[in-house]
Amino acid sequence: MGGLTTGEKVTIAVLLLIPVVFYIVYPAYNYASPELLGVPFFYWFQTLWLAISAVLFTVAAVIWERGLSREGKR
Amino acid sequence: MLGLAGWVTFWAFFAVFVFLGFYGARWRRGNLNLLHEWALAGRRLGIALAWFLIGADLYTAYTFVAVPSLLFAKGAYAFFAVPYVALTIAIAMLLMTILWDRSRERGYITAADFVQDQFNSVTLALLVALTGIVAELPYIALQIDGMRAVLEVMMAGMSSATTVSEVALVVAFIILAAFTYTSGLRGSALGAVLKDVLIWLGVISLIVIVPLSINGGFSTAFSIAAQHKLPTGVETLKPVFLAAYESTFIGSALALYLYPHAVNGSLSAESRKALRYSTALLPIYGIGLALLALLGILVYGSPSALKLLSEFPASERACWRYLPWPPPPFRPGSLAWCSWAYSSGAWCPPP
Repeated sequence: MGGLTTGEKVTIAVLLLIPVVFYIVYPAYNYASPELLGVPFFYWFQTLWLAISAVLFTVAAVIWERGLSREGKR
Repeated sequence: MLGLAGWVTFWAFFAVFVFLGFYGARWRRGNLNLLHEWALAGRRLGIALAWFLIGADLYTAYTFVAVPSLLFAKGAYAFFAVPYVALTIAIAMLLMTILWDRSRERGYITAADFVQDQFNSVTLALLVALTGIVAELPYIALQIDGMRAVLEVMMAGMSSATTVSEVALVVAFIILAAFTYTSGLRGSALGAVLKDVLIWLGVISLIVIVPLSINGGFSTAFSIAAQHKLPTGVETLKPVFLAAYESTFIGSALALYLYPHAVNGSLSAESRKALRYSTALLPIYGIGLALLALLGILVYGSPSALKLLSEFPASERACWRYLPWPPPPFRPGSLAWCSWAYSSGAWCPPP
């Protein structure tokens, strides 16, 4: 983790935590409607958040790797 | 149950899979007498291969059998498998790249190597290694059990199906052991690519074809499922199961990367960067898992599928034994959850 600025570390931590907080704050998705193609909100919204997680994690990975390569580490 | 076309397809893919497993020994050739060449494929897997290999770990009997059948029998609670993926990956993003860095620097191959060096204790390393081995045993057992379930459905209606499936299991296990012995992780990585292509094809075609074949699609399936009053809820999770839902996915997420095969897959990445990016993209794999889980509800929309299911004993349909955990003493999750699982009969008594 050395080599990253504090701003980068905080950004990475926030990006990784967003999905975790979303899934733990359970009332956020425990609804039946609106439905998507007949699938209740509970199911499709949680699934959609997997895609959102992948985007957030990838952004975190880019920031992380850039920070480290700037420092001249591998 | 399978027609001629089904059997031909099955055997063709089986042959390709076995070939790939053994071909692995020659692929990106390295000296397989060196432990890191055998166990970590020479640490040469790029973003795509590492993604395939680690992603394939998420797709086991658990994905195809346990999660859909749990949703079918117990309802919304089974969807804990979705947040489980996201949480697991968040943890892996943080920890596995650090472990990768250290391992490359100091030549670690397993978690036990790391522990021995870090804490300077052979005893602790030995305990970690033994725990890993013991934890994999039920994991492997449930893969075999899941395969048995699949074989039974494939051969439903045949006479002597039980004997044939037992023999098939033994043969499958011997082949697997043989190519792992000769090819190491290379065999598994190549097999994982084929497996993943088949999985994605399967998931996408099932999730398109099945709802289309049901009059009214998902709406019909969900409303029929609702009439069955599944214990944890159908369209939403019953609030009383909140603690169970969250403690299950948090506990499972903390556990997954403790398994030796997950550590091993991560350490085989060619660079820290490749590992970081492939890990970041892993939640996409979970989408397929979520779609497969929904098949547990779609079953209710198909009278012929329900009829087929009714030919199997109820205890076969949703079993905790397929879930990817160590045995009960090591099991994460709250006491309340365990007692609920037990009392609701979700726990399968030994046969």
